[in-house]
Amino acid sequence: MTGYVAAQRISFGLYATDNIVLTPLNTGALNFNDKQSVILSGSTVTINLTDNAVAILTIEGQADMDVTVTIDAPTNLDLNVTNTIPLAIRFAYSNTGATTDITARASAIEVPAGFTTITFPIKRRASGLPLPPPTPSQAGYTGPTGTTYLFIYGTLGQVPVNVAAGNYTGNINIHVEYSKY
Amino acid sequence: MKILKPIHGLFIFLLVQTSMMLSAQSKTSVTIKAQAEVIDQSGIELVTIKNMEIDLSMARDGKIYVSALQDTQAAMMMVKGRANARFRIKFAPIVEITNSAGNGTLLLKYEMVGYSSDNQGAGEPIDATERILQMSSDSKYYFWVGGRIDISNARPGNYDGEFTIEIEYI
Repeated sequence: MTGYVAAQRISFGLYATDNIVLTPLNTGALNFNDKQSVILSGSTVTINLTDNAVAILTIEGQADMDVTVTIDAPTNLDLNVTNTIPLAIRFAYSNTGATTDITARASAIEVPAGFTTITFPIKRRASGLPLPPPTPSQAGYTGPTGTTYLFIYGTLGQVPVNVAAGNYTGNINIHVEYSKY
Repeated sequence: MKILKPIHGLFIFLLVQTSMMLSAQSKTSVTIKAQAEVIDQSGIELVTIKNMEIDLSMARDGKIYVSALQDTQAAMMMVKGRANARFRIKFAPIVEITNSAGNGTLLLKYEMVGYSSDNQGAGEPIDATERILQMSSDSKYYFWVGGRIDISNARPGNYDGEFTIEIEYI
């Protein structure tokens, strides 16, 4: 019996090989100074989805598969242990098959604040009955690929009045994997 | 039966291992850096490079005019701050200058031009109403200050005054 339970762990994920490619499009950074050049104590800086300062990534993968995106972001940007600024990260995705980040952004879907994980198809499916399961990748066959855009943005602050001046940083980790059902 | 059980157990073990390895391969991660540079309000500095020089030889019909855009006698100032930062300036357009011997005052009406590099002739006029300007990529902005003064009724002596400019990041 134990053997059968273990066998069920061979899930949808097994159809996928390591063919998800995550590519940062701009500088690979979310720089709040790009939104507001001068950040002083007491400031709150919000980068919205429509702002140029948004960090953009592409997810390339098998078009007929779902992916689960997990954003692992700190709740503060730090200068050191005692000097920190609150950070609230949000993200949005666009899986309409857009070929540029500009058109992708226009149709992007914002994930509600507070959520850190979301699952969606690499390429949005048309309405109607669900399609049959995708053909697994195999020798001589590679499924169609698609590109989803991911937008990372958020709010910094309020910058505490007594923090030291300096460059505050933090790392946002983005994990993407094919969803397993 | 006693022989089959160990073989079955080994098979399960390998299956689980394979599943975990492939799952790991299908996961992709990337890290982006979030950053913000916080500065002190005092991180903006106004440096006087040259004072305005006025002497009587410049008078025409009892009036002196120093062009902020063209005259070498114009005062020159530089703002040092953060690269590409936007800032707001205000200044009093008319200032009273005082005879150092106590023999009255004169009114000096300022004119100012500004540019993001040291190029007086390219300066754009800046009036006294609140203006929003932008530092250059090397964190500087330059001002040249001239003015008009009527000395037709002035008493002899030295006159001193100050030009006050208010600068604030936005």
